Amino acid sequence: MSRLHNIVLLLLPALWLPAAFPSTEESAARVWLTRMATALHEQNYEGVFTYVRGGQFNTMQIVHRFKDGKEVERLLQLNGEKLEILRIDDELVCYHEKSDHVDLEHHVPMGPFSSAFSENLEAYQDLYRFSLHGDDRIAGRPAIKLGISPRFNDRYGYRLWLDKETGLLLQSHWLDVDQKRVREIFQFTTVNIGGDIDETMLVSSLAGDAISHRLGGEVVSLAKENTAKPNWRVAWLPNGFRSVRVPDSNRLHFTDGLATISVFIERSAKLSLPEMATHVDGTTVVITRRIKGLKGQITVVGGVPLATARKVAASVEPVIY
Amino acid sequence: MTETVRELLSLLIDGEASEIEIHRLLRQLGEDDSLIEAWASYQETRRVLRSPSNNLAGPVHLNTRQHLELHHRISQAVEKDTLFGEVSSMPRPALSAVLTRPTALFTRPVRALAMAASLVIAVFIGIQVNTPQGDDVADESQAIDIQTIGSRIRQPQFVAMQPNRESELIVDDLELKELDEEGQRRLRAYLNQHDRMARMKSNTSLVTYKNLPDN
Repeated sequence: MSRLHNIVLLLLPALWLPAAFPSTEESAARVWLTRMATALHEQNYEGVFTYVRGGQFNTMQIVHRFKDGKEVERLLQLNGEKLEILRIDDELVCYHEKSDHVDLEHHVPMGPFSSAFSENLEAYQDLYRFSLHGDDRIAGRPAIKLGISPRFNDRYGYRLWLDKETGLLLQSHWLDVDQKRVREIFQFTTVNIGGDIDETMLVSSLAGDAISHRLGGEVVSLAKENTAKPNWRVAWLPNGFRSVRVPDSNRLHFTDGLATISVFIERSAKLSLPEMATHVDGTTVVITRRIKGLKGQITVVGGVPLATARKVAASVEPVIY
Repeated sequence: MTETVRELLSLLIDGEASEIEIHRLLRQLGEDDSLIEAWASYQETRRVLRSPSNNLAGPVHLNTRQHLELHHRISQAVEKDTLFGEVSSMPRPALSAVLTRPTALFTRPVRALAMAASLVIAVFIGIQVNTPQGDDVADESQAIDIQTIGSRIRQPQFVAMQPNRESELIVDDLELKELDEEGQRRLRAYLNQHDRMARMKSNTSLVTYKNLPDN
């Protein structure tokens, strides 16, 4: 027994080694990811991309300019309702074509530009494996194919196609835990990278005759320690998820840098959502459950596998001081 | 838009397109505007069919391939139909004789109507029952209680993953409209807040988005 114990102790570092000392391929992949993060912010580009997510199918025109340290981006939805999004750094203004039924609580169809890919992914090597998968061609441009695979099957992975010349993200697939099924597709169909972006290309075509609303940047911190006493806590989270401090005691957000999990607490006796565990739009998991012994309901929303979200939901509990 | 592309689109909507097929379809998008229109039209058809007032599908379970096969068989049946066979292959004098036969005059519209009805039903059933009902979870042991949402919502089903497929697109399992108004409002608010809690600014902070009043 003691010998077995020793063998296990000897093997333990071997399990840790791959994450601590990544292979050359993994290092190369991480260099590409850093290039991608920079390109997404600092390249000038314009083109048309498609964004398929569950039943949603958006085709967007994008113009992105980086000048004097400032990002300006214009996105125009080409299908359905005319929607234009103007972004200056973290400030968004949405322009809707005037109609009787403008939904201001709409999804912001920005593709992966709105999410984790703008972050430096290198920081997440303990949670994800990065790999190179050869060359490809997207939107007429030579591309390099990368894989981001979770080290554990409690979250999803990605396949990315980056422009060989600039590192710009040209295509991405958000993959299921089996690494085969695709939950979300983003792809440029046409793109021009580099060169000057004229000021007129960044002016909203709807601005004169549209309903507009601002989406303000709400800066929140990744909480290292709680400054206020929370009313609720999540007793279990997948490895690497950290709490995001938001100024609202009825919601909790967590992220591992790529995936996000949100927990919403509703304290009213009349529940507006039935108990369910399902996907919305094929990508976002939604789980509701009643709070044991109390009035109200919790809803977990996440870009993680259902099994992971279930464990999170089951672990939410009120904090009793 | 070719029939092959149309089939690919159908497979994509049904979550049965392979990765190669998805690539092919996406390539077509830049070249064919009608493809996007067709997608929207298919989605609309699907939405109509999935509305609570339409319960045509019932317990029937056909996948897209079965649906296409059924379509193919019906087409073959039409081709093999003796009456139409006779009509197409007969010399002109015989044709007039056939058409003036009382039985032919009666059966032709009836058969045509039956064929049309079969095709419509096949298409309706095919589209409706092919919306994916399962999800990806293999671990059922930790399942919390799942109740149906009224009688209108499909209960999420836990099905085994399909290991033999190279890649397939998963489409939505639940649409907001399947909840009542308050439920829709609440879930949409949750989804938006979750969705907007997205943009990373640095290693230590995030930026989320919320609606602000115009100044």
